[in-house]
Amino acid sequence: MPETISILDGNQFVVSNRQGDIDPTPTENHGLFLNDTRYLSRWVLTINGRRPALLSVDDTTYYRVQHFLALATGAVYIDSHLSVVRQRSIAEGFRERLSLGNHGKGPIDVDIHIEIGADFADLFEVKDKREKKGELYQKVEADRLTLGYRRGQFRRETVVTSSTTAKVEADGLRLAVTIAPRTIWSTDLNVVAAREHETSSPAPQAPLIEAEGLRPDLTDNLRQWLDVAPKLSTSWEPLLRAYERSLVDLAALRFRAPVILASMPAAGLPWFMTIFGRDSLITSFQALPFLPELATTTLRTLAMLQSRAHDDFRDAEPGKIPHELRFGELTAFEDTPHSPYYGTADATPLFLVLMEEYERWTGDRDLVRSLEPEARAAVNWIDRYGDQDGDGYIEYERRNPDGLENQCWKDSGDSIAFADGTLADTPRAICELQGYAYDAKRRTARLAREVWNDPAWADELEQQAAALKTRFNEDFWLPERNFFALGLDGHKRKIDSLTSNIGHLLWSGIADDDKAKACAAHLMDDALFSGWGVRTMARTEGSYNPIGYHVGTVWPHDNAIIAWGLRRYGYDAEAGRIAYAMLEAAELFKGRLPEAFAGYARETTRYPVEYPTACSPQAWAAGTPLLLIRAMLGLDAKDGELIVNPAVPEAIDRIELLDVPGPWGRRDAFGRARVR
Amino acid sequence: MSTNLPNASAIPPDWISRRGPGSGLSGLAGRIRLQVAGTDAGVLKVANSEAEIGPDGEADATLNADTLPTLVGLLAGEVHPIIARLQNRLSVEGDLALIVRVFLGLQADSPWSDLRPGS
Repeated sequence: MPETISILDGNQFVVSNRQGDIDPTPTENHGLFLNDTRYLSRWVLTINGRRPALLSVDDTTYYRVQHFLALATGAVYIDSHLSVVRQRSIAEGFRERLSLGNHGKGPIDVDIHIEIGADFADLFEVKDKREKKGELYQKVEADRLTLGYRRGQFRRETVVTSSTTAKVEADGLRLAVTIAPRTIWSTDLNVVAAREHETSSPAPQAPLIEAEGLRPDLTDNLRQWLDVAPKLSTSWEPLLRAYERSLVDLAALRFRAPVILASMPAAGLPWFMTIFGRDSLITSFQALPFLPELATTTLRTLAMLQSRAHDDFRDAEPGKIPHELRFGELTAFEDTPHSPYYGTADATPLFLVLMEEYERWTGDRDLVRSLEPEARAAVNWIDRYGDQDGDGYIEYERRNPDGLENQCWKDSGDSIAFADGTLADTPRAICELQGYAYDAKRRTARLAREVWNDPAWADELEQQAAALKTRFNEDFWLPERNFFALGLDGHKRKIDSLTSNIGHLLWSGIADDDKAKACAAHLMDDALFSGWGVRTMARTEGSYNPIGYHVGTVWPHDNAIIAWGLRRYGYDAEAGRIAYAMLEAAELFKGRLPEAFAGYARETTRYPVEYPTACSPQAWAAGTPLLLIRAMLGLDAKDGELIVNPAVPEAIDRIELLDVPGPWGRRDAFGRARVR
Repeated sequence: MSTNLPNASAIPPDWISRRGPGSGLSGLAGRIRLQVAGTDAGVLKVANSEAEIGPDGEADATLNADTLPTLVGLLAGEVHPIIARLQNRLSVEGDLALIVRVFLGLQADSPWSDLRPGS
């Protein structure tokens, strides 16, 4: 049972304990967060000096939660006449209806106290407490408590009001009430996290509780979101649960922020509730046959933020697609480079991959036409700045010493190691970056020919891609181990560990057929395949750790990409095996795949073991069931037609996806397992 | 679309005549009304990898800087547009994507690169 409860709407979220209190401990980071800033770091309810005891929590809806409590008498059993219900909903802050029920025969006098504090920590400061450079202040007024933080013109305020008269104190609200027998008393507490332009007068709030419950607008919005997605019918119930969970989680992760163009998916709760180039691109790719509008916003927003200058602080060069954009104080004062930070070597080719895939699934040539300058700049980045030493491969090395050491998806410091466990030196040319570049050039060639009317450039790009494929299959192949190297290190030595990265090469199509066959065998072998999924690193390798972030755990999105890659090369049974195992794991996670889980072999654990600090929900984990469904049905879009080429595992048997959107309007896709 | 400039005298005279290339402006075309604390300060026109500031005209978007030094810093490529936004030193109306692209582009180089905040 999780110790914390999270509710969210895009990049605003509340993390509390199960009682509903925001009461951080060294191991649990509670708070009300918005735009990478913690607007409340303390919100603790006591009644007559005691904290009510937990009965149960209803957190079945992502944007609201109900905590059922009772005022304990101190005995072993809770035998209380006073019940407490806290209904909370996220809303530019949050709204909380506090209801106290007197179930006794006489009136009860209660002293309710909400202890309130706000440290306005930047999300990066939450883990590592730092001295604030600006000034914290409080304003006590008759009807409201304002907690604020000021640093130059950067201001953030939290304003707390109550619908019932409360005594406002510097550290909280106090309400003294008498509750008649057999009645329920309630008050609505409003917490407004005010953005800078709203600080002088917080926006008036809509009525707190509507007939349909808290935040009926979000209920309607979610209903619309689910209505437009294709309908799934299947003979295997867990797939349906995973699909529905994915759609809801992708809705929950949509967010808007000051400098993005429309709602787009944040990467993951709680640490990555912002734009990540790579995560947004992969998630949008996964969702294209289901929810293509995510890709529209991702392409437009990332194009807008594409770097146009050299910038050592942000690890940027012209044409590069950003890695991460943050909105907190440390970013605003350039204490950190996330405005945005560009330390990613794969987002730029993936931007081109998504653009071409988007055109095929939507037919939206207007957007693709408008993005021609950005596409050209991205190709130029691949050739000129991605390949710093002119060897024909993308490699990365940070220029900001506080930037990311690894600028591929396995971006932790220990992820790129030789088979003996030695870390590779830099700059590093990781294998999948070359695959993405190959795929990007082939796809961009099609757009150049069909949309941008530049057949000469198309020919050039295709020739470059073909040459890259030939070169790569020679330079990255490890004949003694029969798979592709993880990458080339700073001395052009092949990094010889066996990793899941080889699966991405199948997705991109850069692997020669004979080499793809060898890689497919490795991906399904016990060293890499845990029984629940393909591990990030094989257990035969020196750095392997089943609970190492990128050196042994299983990442769902990684597996979805691998399954789709296996299908590209005709390894249908292998793709089905991964898809089924991953969906079995999803069922054991109640339909919601986490960012990553442990790489222990399935024969030793009947359940996939949770990775301790994994984000959940995580956008590309939520997108995983979508890409797996696509892989099992063999869905593709070509020349305005929906292609269906099913390879459904026997255990799942039947999948029907109705109303798949595309240039064709809406079409249905059916798949049944082949009877042997 | 914005209307004609009511008060051209707010514009420092040496901005107007300046026209020049910006390598970060390729692929961009549009007009941005510049304001300081709500007072018009010219229209930035971008086309063909060049930029210039004219005294008036229609615009696709409006950038309102809190002070003249902020605006000068943005034009000179000294002040990063996202940083200025996060510090609450500017607000925008209209085509946000144009404004972000143009001012990220001026980070590469700018016809006003010799201007300094306060000039």
